[in-house]
Amino acid sequence: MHLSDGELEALLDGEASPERRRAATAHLAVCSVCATRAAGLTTAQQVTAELLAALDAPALALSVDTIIARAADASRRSAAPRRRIALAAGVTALVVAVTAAAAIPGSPVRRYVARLLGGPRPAEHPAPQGLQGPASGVAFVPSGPVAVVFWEPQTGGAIQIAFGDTPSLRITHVGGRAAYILTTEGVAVDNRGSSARYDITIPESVTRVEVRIGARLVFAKEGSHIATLGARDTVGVYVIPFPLIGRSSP
Amino acid sequence: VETLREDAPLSTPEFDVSFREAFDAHHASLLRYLARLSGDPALAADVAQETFVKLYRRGEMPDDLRSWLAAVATNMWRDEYRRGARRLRLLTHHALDTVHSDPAPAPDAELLRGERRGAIRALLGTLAPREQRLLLLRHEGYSYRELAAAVGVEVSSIGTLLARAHATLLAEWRRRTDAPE
Repeated sequence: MHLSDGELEALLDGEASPERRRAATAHLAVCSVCATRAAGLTTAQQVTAELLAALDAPALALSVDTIIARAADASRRSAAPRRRIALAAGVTALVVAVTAAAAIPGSPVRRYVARLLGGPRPAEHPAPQGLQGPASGVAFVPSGPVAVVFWEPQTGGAIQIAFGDTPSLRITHVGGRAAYILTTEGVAVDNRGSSARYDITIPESVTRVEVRIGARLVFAKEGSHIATLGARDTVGVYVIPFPLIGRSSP
Repeated sequence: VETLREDAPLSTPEFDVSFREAFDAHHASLLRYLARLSGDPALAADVAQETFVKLYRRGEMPDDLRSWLAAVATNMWRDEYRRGARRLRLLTHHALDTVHSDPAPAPDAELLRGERRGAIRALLGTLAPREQRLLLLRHEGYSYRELAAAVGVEVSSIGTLLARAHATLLAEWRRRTDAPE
């Protein structure tokens, strides 16, 4: 009597009871058929693990503080239908994304949006709604290289970048409005019309960081090398004043 | 889009501590499970976040936390999927990728990774939804008891279902990769 597939799987998974494990192990020692099947199942498990691992892309990570804040906020505003909020955020993200793509000269999205909207200049699109109010920043745990991309230069304000012994990359803003969109590369900041100052804390463990304003690279970290258009202050914070960048780029 | 709020109130200290411990222990696994299940990291992050928000609002830890997280997250993902959120988000991220990759073309390696992911996702699609979930959760280290509670099957059936899923996946992968172009 051979072992069933389920018994073999449970044995390999360490889920067989001690009694079943002893019996199955004794059987495998004398039954080449089941031993071969067990080897095949082991291979199937290993290949599956490799295939699943290959599915993993850089993940958008979560912040426990954000979740707690959301939970508390949801408790306060339980009357607000979550679905509508989620949909509004999704639509807003889509508007921002498409408009950002449309802002790039030569982008096919630019032509598509122009056709959809009857040809207005992308810069004339209204700012997205729904990502404002008391929101003050964004935090997430990066799983690889990070790009922080600001929509456009500002006439005032600054970007301040510090590195810390923290798992989360955190961006907060003061003195203006901003909206954030987490992307597969990091975070996009909709700072149109804003004069805010942005404080970015980056985990020291992140080896590759880019901060761009539009298409212009204003800060880069590659390993231990850092390049910036700004300056490093006495406490190790990199300060990039927006007026330094100007409004001519890209 | 996840935002920090300046006016976020504090929770009770005891539950806050246990919640943070639960989050630290399980959020990465739940996120990975959802990303593999959905193929959409942004949707996975949203669903995982909402799952933990739901846990926080619950105010107490369930007896079987991991099973609870997986079951709630899977149901939430199904709802999101049905409502078309996935399609919307994929469009969003496609557009954002366009921004970030312009003007430099995507590296060949990334294209190959994308193609490989697509092939593996198609492979997973050959399994029944229940087998997919079992397989993904098992590869997150869920015990048979946790799997049974999360997916809603008898513990005694788990070994058989997993063996079949593993064998099907391997056979189909070999068939596809050995097939001539």
